[in-house]
Amino acid sequence: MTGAAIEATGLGMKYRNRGWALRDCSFRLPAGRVCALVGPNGAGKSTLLALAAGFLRPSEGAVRVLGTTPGQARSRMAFVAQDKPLYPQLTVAATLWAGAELNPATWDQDTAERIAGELPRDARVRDLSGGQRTRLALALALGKRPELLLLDEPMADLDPLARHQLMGSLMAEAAEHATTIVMSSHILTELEGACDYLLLVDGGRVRLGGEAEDILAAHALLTGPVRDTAPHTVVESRTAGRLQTALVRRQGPVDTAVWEAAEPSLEELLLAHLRSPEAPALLTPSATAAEGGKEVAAV
Amino acid sequence: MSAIALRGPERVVIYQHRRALWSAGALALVGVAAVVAAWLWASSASGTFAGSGCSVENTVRGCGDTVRAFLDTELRFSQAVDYAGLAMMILPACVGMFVAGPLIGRELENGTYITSWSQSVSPARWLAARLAVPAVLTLAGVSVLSAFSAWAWSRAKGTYYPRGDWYEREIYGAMGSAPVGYALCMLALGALIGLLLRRAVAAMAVTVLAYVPLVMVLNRVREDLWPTARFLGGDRPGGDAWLVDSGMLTASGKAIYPKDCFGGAGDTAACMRGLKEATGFADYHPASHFWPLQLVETGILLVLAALAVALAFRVLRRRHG
Repeated sequence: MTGAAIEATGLGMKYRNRGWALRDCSFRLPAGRVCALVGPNGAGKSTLLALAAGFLRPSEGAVRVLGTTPGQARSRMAFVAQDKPLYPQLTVAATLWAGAELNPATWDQDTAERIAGELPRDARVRDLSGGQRTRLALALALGKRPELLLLDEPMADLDPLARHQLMGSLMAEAAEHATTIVMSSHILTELEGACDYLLLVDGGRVRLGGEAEDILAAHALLTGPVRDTAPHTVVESRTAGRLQTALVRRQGPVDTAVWEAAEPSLEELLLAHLRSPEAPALLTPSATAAEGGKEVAAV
Repeated sequence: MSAIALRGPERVVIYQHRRALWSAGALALVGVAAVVAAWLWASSASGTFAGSGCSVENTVRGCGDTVRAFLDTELRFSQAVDYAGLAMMILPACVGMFVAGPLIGRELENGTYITSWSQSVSPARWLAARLAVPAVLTLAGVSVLSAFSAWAWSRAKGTYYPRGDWYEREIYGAMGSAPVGYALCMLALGALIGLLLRRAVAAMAVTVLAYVPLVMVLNRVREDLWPTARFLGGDRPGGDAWLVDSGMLTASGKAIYPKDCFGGAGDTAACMRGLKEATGFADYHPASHFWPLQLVETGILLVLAALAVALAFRVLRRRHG
């Protein structure tokens, strides 16, 4: 087992006026993965990232980052917040200068300059477009040479072309330095293809966690007559006339004499889980926190 | 702002707020220059006046305009000193507002603190830089301004328009170590208020509101911050003594204040006069008590500042781990 980039045990966060945003979360993210943190709006994705980044103090439980506390790991990880709160009065060049000043041990000006690309260096941050600000925020984050990169809705204000470009540079940097990346999105398929690891957060809990392939392989989309799907666990089932379509978590081989089985797409899988809040959580062994949480269920 | 080895977070804070800092420095320089110019003008006028043969006390025919012109320059200098004293009284509130608003409240309001904390800068380090930079600049700047204000006050004393005695609130609070104490205390309070309110404008307003009771309470207790001297005899201590209280001393050595006579009711003046074999006394602070009083008051302010800073770090740790 490789080291864990993030390991949460019984993690919970309660806001004074909004109640629990995250509750009883236990999971593990192995180092070196590119992880999609998905879930609907208000699921607790941003809270989870803010806890991992060490901006919030958990109300209960603990999260360890790169083998230590988030505070201790601060210089080894980077975080890009959803609204990219850069200092509006600074220019692009001054923002990168501040990055060098504030990360004296790890800063790599070349990387930062490369990601910043064609951004006009003397433009003030407040005059940049949303996409340009995202680019600058990523330059600041990657210039830090982080071992762990936390991105909260990074691509939300980018057009498809810019998204493709930035995602490309991001993946290249990540591959070169074996950076662990966590990217959140409420657009479930936005991150498909780029990510090899998956965390589904919904209602303040981790519903799915593990290698995207393994999670997909653990499920099957069954089509056949209306009847009990035992021994498989039903995540979601629909009937249309005499035909039943069920997304199940496989328990052993599927009886292909009765069912037509197919592997679901990532989107089908995620939507099925979001529509069925009572479906049990699934964490693959690599995503299971060592110190055992309540939701842990190995495949 | 010079080449001294400043570390990252402080350098960034200075760079971000360089315009405000330069403006404050420029404003202080303009104020100092205005007072100095008024003084130069007044002292040159004083030289000319001495050679003119006229005198303020004995107005003779033909001297009216000369005397008026001379007194005008002195009045103008004295007014400049007045404004400088007023500026010194406002200064601590301005320092507090700057820390509460632009330095801390606005960052928390806009979320830009996230950008700082996403670098290799812990929340505590972030706050420390936002305290250290204004604290060093305040310590240096206000010390100089306070010394200058004391100098200007002493110059105004020699004119026909002196600016009041050392113990008067507007004078006392504009020189010595007190202005530095007030400024540092307001800096710390501003930081705490900014952290608690997380809104720039609200934090600035509350900081100003907090300054008023602070000044009022300390003005009120000031006379008790150092033991008074006692002057015996019917007359009052002369010179620039700060008379705090007076009463009669009985033969047995018991001090009776007007409020003690008849328990404060009835004709206290007659009661005081009726005391037998008693001598009058006065409790007062001689001018030599200026520094002890100032240092005790500054000490109180610094303790308050330390408490506010400790609380601010606690709030930060509580909320943000």
